[in-house]
Amino acid sequence: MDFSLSPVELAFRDEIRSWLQANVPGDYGTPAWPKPADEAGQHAASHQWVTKLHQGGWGAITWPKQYGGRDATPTEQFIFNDEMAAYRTPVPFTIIGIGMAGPTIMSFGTPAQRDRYLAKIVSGEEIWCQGFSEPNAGSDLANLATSAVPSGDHYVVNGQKIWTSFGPIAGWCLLLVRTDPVAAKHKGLSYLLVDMRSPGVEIRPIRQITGDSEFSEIFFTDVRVPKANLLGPENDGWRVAIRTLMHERTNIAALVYTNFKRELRDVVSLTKRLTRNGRPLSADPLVRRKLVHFYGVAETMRLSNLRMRAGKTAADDPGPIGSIFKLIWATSNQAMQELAVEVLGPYAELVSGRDAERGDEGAWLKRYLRSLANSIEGGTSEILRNIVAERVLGLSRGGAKEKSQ
Amino acid sequence: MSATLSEEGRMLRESAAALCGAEFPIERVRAMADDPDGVSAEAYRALATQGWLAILVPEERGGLGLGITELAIVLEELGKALVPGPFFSAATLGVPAVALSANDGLRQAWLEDLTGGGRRVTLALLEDAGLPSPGGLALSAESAGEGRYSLKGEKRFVPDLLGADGIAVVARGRQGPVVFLLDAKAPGVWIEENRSVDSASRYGTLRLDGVTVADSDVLGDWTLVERILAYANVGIAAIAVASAEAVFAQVVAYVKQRVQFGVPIGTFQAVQHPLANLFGEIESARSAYLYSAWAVDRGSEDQRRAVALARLTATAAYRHACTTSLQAHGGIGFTWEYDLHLHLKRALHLQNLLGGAEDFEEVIARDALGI
Repeated sequence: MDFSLSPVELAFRDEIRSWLQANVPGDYGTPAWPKPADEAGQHAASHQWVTKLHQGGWGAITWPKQYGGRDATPTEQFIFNDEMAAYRTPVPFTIIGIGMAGPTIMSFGTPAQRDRYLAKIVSGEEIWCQGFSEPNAGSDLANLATSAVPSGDHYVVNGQKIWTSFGPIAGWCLLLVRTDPVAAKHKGLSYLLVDMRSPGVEIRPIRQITGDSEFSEIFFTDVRVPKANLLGPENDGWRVAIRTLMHERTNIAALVYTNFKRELRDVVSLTKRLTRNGRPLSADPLVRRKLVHFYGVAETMRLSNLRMRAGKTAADDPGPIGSIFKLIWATSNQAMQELAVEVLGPYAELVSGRDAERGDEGAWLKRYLRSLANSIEGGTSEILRNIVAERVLGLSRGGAKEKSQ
Repeated sequence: MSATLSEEGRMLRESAAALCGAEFPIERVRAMADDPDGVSAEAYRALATQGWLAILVPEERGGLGLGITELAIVLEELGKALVPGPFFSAATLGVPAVALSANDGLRQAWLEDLTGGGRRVTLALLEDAGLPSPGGLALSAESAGEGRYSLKGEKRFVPDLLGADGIAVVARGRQGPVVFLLDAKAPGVWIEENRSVDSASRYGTLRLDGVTVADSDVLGDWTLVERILAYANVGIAAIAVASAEAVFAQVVAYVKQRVQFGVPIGTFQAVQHPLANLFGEIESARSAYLYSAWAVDRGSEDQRRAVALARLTATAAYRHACTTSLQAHGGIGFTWEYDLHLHLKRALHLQNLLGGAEDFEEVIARDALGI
């Protein structure tokens, strides 16, 4: 395989590299770019960052030029992520809009729907969230029960969604609902675009084991959604949802790499900073062996991403092979965060007092706790292994009565 | 960026696969492994007549002028078929040691015979389990006056030593490591063969009791050693990845047809999930291997770490493929009759061939992580 970047790809890399040098003051959360302590401040910081990316022309690079993107190829998308990995930046709360809502609306939306939504997604003016999972429809997504009953030119929606990121700040929701309660479970679903300010929408943040609230429950009580907000045909929502999940897979393959590379850099610095018996822990043979392993994970994720993307266009499905990145990342990030708390020992759990400084006031322990969700969120590791087994290896499903998606 | 194979690469893969199919069926491979010579001379000649020993030789020196990317494709096919014999060490170590040498006299005396398969050279580098550092060599070249030297010391784990006509010996010279090419039949050369649990692989121990060499026998310095080791390590990664893929394809086929409780065992998640994990590990190793070949051929500045990562991930993936497959097979996988153990033993051999995991981990720790 030829790993050389083409002249166009090289120019793209140089352009994003110099833009980042000119526009990123340093790692977010350090004195060079302080992270506000309160949620409102953090939202403001994210908003500023999203606006800056948008104004620089980097907001939605994989989108077609006509919708404010730059028609970036999957390879260029990865180059962009690889360059971004050099910095720690605020989580852009536009990721669901740009990564999932926009591309799905482009594929299935009417001209009126495209005109209404796409521009405001790119600009960051409207934030999107995803209403797919339910208490009884996690891995078994098609089992969802939230109903939408036609009533004149509206649907009336009742039910509950869960594990929704950006719930409290989102203006719009990608909502998967059941419109035909009698049909087979994959057949009776529809895909709605729902205004989160509609009467009857209630958002309750979920407090996690880390103490943070990244996810919410959303309750829908007699929420009226105009029929004009149906995306794709009625009762064909499963096909639309699959498209959303396909885009999620491509994005995740790049995002988990970026995330892991940043975390690895921090863990390496931590082991250099900590000493035992007068020697930095990075000199300990067991610690070194583990760090080398994690480097290998990061580097092979980079190279596999490049292999997967070579010669592809943004419209191509990366296929089930994209599932292995998320799987490898979840396992590896958990092991890496475990190493960090291991080398800190009892300092990891301290949240106050002078000695708490060594473990960044419990921040490392919190990162470890957060990593435990990696093998659940965005497709559990078990489901991802099922997907690889069924669709890459051609092994048929056993106990479950239906296929994994 | 392109994921497609070059025209040369495609042709090499086809001809190597065809040759393996015709000349090296598994019964013959097993018979050769039991042969005291390791491989019949005719089998080595069959490989040599394909011209593959000349892949890494520059065109102006009579070779094909291709890279390790192309040689590795041949090694992938030979590896999958478990072809025994010294082709690997000859093609990645012996031939380039002479072909890339600045010593015109030695090249003229040896190269044509080496690429034709008439004579063979191997590399004597390791003195103990690990890869020596350039400053850590014990085997010494003491000056004997008038451009002559006396070689004293021992080398271990020399690949395919028995039957080699020439030995490229890496010795501690006054100003750093020196590679001498010596005649395997020279006075003072003492050779012992070590048969391996991997019956197709042969190591030798070499003792030199004051063997006299001259300036005219010098092939090069440590730069040459690093160059040919890079070729060999990419080659090991190629063999390991392709073999892991072959083992994997076989076990996936097996769990689809092996029936227990009235259904193929491949329908059980307890069987599927380790295979899904293995798929990820092998794919990662293939990415590392392909990149290492590209980096070496291009002379990329990160080639050392790329090669180290390819070696580590590929040999580990090969071993895990074998152990995962053994478990999925149940008892049959534990039998001598079944071919799986041939792969498992080859995997164990490759993990320590020309250096062990620690050697490559240290390259990454220092070069890539700066620790």
